[in-house]
Amino acid sequence: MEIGTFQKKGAGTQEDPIRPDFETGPGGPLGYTPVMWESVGGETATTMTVRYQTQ
Amino acid sequence: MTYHPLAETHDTGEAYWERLGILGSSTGMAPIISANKTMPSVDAYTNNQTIAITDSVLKYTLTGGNANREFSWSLGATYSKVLAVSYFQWGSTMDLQGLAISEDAYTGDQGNPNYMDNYIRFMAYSYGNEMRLQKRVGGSYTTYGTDTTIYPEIAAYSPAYALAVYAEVGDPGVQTGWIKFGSTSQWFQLFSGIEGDLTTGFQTVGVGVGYTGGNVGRMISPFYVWGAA
Repeated sequence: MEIGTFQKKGAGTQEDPIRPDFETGPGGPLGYTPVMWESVGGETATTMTVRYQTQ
Repeated sequence: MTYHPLAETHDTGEAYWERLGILGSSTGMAPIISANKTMPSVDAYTNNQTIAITDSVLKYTLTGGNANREFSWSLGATYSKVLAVSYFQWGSTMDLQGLAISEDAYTGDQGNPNYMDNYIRFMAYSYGNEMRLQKRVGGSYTTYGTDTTIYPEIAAYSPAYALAVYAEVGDPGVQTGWIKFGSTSQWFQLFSGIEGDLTTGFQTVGVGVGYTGGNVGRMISPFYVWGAA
């Protein structure tokens, strides 16, 4: 498991909720959506920090 | 220390929650809803569904066209932390089942498909084949965790499974979801998310039951809710 900070994306609807954009992480895009991830706090207006399972 | 749950509290997981320090005399948590056998009537609901309670089973059927449906129970007071536990059975091939803890109070026919707001919800979500921890605040949805490696069998006659969700107000607040499969399995935690918008206290426990007209599902006792002021 890794911890990373990612930009938020999504319209805020149930079909398109706000969530981390794993394609555009500040540390470099993951290029994939992790099979498991969860918030670890430190959320800002534009970013979420999450613990995620690497591919 | 070996964990040996008592038979009489195995399904609700009380010994497990006490071991985690969520329940127990020092926590201030007390039962609010204790449906060990007969499911309680709902206090509020979306109107395009039928809800039929037969002893331990609350069966819902989504009537009319496609739209989200919910139903909920009032907690009768405001609580700073709440733990909700219940069993579910998936009755269709696509939809969602989610147990939510909301800061708002609701009574009667709400009409609006998504009437519950300001909540944290732990749910099985077939559209993504995943478990999801999700918040709705001010009408906007934010996902705080997903897991595509484990979720209930999505089929009309799938086995019952159970969800548990715990929420604690604050900034940061704590929101945790557990799942349980089969009558003899133990609870295990999937998510422990952290967010900071739910800060005023909880008044409702509710269920989101999906979108597709004609779909059927069941909520099955034991259905327990504990809370502390």
